[in-house]
Amino acid sequence: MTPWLTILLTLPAAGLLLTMLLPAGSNQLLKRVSLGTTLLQLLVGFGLLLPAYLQKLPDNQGFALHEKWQWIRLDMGTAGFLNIEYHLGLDGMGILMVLLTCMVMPLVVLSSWNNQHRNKLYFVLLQLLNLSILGCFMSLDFFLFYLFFEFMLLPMFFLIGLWGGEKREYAAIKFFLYTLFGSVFMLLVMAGLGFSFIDPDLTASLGRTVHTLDFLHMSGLADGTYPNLVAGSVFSHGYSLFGLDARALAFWVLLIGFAIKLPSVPFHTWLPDAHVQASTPISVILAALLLKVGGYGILRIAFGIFPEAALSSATWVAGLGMISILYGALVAMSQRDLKSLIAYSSVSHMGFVLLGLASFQAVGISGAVLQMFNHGVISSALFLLAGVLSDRTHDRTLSNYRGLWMKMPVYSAFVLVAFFASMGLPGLNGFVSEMMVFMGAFGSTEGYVSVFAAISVIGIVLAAVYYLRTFRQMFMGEFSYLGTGDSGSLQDLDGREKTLLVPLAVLMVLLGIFPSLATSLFDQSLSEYVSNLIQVAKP
Amino acid sequence: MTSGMQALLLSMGIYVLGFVIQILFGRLLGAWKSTLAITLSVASGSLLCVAWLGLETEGFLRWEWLQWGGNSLDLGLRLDAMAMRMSALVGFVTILVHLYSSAYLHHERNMAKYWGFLSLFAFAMLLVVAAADLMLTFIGWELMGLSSYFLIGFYNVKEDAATGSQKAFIINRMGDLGFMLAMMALFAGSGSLWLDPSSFEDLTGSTQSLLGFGLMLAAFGKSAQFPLQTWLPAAMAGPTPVSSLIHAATMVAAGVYLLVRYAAFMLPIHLDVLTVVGAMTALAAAISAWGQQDIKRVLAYSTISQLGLMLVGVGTGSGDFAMFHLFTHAIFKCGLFLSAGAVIHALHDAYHSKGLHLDAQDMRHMGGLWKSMPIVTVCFCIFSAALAGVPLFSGFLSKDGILWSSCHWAQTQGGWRWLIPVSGIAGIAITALYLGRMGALVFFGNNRSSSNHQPENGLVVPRTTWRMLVPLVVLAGMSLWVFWSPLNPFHAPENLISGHVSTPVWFPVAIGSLGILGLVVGYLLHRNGWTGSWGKAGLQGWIQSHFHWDEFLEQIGTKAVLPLGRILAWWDARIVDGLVNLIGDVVVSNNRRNTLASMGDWMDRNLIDRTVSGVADGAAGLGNKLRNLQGGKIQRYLGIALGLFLVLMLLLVYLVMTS
Repeated sequence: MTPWLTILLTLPAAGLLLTMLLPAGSNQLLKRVSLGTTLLQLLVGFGLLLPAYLQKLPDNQGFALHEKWQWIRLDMGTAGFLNIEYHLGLDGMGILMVLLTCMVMPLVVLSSWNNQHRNKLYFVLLQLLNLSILGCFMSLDFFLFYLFFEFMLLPMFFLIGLWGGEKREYAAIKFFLYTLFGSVFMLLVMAGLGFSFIDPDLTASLGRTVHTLDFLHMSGLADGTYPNLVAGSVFSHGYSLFGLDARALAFWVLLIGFAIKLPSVPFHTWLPDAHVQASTPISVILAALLLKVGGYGILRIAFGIFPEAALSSATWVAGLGMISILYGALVAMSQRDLKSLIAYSSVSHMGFVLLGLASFQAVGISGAVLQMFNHGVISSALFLLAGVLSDRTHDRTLSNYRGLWMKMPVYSAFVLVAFFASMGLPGLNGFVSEMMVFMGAFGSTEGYVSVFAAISVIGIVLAAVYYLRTFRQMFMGEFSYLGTGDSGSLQDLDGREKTLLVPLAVLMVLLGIFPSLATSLFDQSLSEYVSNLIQVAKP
Repeated sequence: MTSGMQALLLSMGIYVLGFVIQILFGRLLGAWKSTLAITLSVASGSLLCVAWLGLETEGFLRWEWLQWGGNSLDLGLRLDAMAMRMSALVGFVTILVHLYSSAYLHHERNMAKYWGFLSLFAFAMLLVVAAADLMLTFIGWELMGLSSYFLIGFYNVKEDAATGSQKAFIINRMGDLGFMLAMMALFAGSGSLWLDPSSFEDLTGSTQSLLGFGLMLAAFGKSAQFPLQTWLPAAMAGPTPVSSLIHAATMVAAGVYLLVRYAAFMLPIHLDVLTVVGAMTALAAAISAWGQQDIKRVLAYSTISQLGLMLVGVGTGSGDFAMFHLFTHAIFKCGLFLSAGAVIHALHDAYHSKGLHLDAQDMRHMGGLWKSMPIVTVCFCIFSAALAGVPLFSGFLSKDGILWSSCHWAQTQGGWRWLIPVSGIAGIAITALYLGRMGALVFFGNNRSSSNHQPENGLVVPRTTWRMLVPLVVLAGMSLWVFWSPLNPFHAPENLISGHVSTPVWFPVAIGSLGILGLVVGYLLHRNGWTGSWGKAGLQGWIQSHFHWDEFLEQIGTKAVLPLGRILAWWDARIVDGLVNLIGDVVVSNNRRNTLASMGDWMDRNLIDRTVSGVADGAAGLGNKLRNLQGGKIQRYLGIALGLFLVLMLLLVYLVMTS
């Protein structure tokens, strides 16, 4: 069996090493090497990994691709061993995210083509980030996941802090502290989990208790019991910490950790700063890939390990989703900077992910996963489009532009496609996932989830309001430019920019008309996962 | 697949092809754009008409659209007699509008965009007409909103076109909120978006109720009914041929069509609300039409009023007559818009050549145009007669049906319901009045464009081209009763109306006389160029502004929603983020005396520089560059962050060891 997942992971690692070996001054070479390796990653992802994945679908374990090697076995004395494995797997939950990463990275490199200084460091960090993001979406061992999760922070911190705008240091440190805050608590939960679950096969063969951090060993059975849970451990049922149910507490700690990444209101204020200060390619990675780790983590880890706590908190999760949708949209309405408008619209659109997950219905959770992919495509395009203006005038203030449609018709057409996709117009991809989320959440019988779903629908009107107001402000009317930049530089898209935007626009239309191209990749394995989740939560 | 279905799919394909070619390759086509657009629309439209006349009108198609674990969401098309008839109407009107547009907009730029979205508009309407499930209906429904956004905003350089298109889309989205709620309710209740009588009966009462209200709200948005009617007058900023298409066979017709389609799934309470809203909107809009000075706005309010009447038809249980009125109205309203367009087009050129800076749509400067545009005048009179409900014209047949069945409905149910036919009859009288006024102001009397000193014949009105006249004459022919009911001028034809109500002879006579009387009175009141409709200025203002409803809605938007956004943005920046910054300041302050920060500095010097960053930076060989660049600042931040991390790790180990 070819280890496709490891092969895919070694590509960015190889790119990283190759970049480090190149001389620092060779700017063109550095860019070409990075583009080459990310394109190779795209080819391997779609040309080899995806066929292998499809061939193995469905697999009896739910993971079409699966790789596992012994890594660290820690002797903890009387407590037995802690077994940490290099365990990768790809199922319906991860496939779209991995493909999205493979797709977005070449675009990111290509959009970095005009990067002026310190190219070597830049591309090294980019490859490191690429590697950690891919690792997050494929790890099945909590330790491995956590390692990749933490490894995303440093490159991102420097990429914002060294190549960003005026207040880049503030934005970078804010991003770092926020995310660290979440992940530190996640670490606590991981430590507790390390003492709570055992690996049954290894325990039997070694004759001593072998603790594990493998997600697969942490899942429950249909009767609501957890076969590998150590009785009396921190996360066994009925154990309480600080007077609270330990499992519910752990669920919320994980949820908040990932909700910061997502981000959900009220943990979102790092996002607008990070986006406004980051350069275009970094914004694209941030919006398209990094945020998705949050949604993925909630579903795989917070929901996967503590399903009954998740189910009983469904109303609250849906409430967070609703607030994110409406609050993000309302705040987006009064933004003056194009990038911060898109950032708040991201907050609003990631709220759909929370709402869909809280539905505890196959359709709603499928919608949430699809929404993550769709948002990745749409927000990449939106930030690339905002970058087009930044490149020309270094000015993204909405009110400085009038009548861009006359001056830059092709650019306006792409903006329109992305705006309409983002506001959920049928025929474009955003609609499908939003509608699935709404249908799933409205069908939920838990608490007030259905009420929150009905209220959240207002979000689609608000999205139309802020996008169309922006479009009228900047693109309609007679052309004029009121800012301090050079209005003569406002030329229509060049070849490189079109190359970046065309695939994204095509994908928006294609997945809007044929959504099953995407859903068929995850449908079966995800709904198995969801039905298992529901059975464990409601035995 | 039946031959009718094949024809439908083929013509849909042609419209999509037209859209794709014009949008992607429009620049390459040059002057061939119009030729191509007209050719494709003729091909597609005649295909639909042939299918209606000669092919099997039944057909069904269903395919899987998306799936999740054993479940799937299917889309489907269903062709029946009503859908086929409606499709033929859409195809037919689209041909005429294409032909007319090629003359009306011959000097415009960006025509590829115009032709493309005109095609998409027709395609979207066909989807709504033939969709068998709610999801596909909604897709067509929204694509229509999209097309209208581009077409209304065609002159996007102009301010009113920019606001008008935006308003149309956003208000339609409010209606869509209802549509989405209806879909959510149906899906939650039955697990599918296919509505049929058996699945409807299984739904709970509240789901049925939500479903009905949702669809109703959706229809109020598309068909411009209270409280969402204000987008239609604003949409007049689009080119006139677009207005004629929106008002005839597409867009506004979709709302009524949806209600007729799903009337069987409405509860009595829904039907009552539908009737009341329809009657109220019909009367209010008719009064407002009387007070307009802009020729297109008269017609916009007139459409709102007629759509209200159709809603009354649906609500009182005569969906057949509502559909019949939709058809006759489509023809004569399209004609009225095209006549108005001919007038505007001619006057625009005439004013321009005279150097007059007048609004070519303002009826206060018009008058006496029958001399220079006789054919248009005759056509206009035919359309007006049809709209006013004069016997021997098409509108008479359909209005008569709706009103009589509303009387019948009031009689069986009694009480307040008698107000509905009464307001309907009042609406007929006012409709005739504003049409009489319009004719008097535009076509008859003396021309008022020049100042009093200049002779009235100073204005040279250019001839109307054949491409504009042909659609007008064809539509005028179709507005006569013979086209709809060859035998009996007093009854609607059996092939259009299934179980028709037989009216006593006095009723159609009374309705017809009222229409004629209204036209005459309206003409006499305004024939001397008196443009105001009421004496008092305040009342005039209320009527002309449609009772300030539009302003009221805008006030809600600008005084409530936008400020709420600004307040939340302030809250977000100051309170939420302020709190974060406060915490950040405590931790990362430049003040060395601050304990946490100095602790961080200590860790920076002793832990990070020597160990962690030493190893990491050494490996990558980046340390010096970073340090030089940021003067150690980033290092300190990183140090603090990692220090925090280590402290918590220690805490964790401690917790684990003690437990």
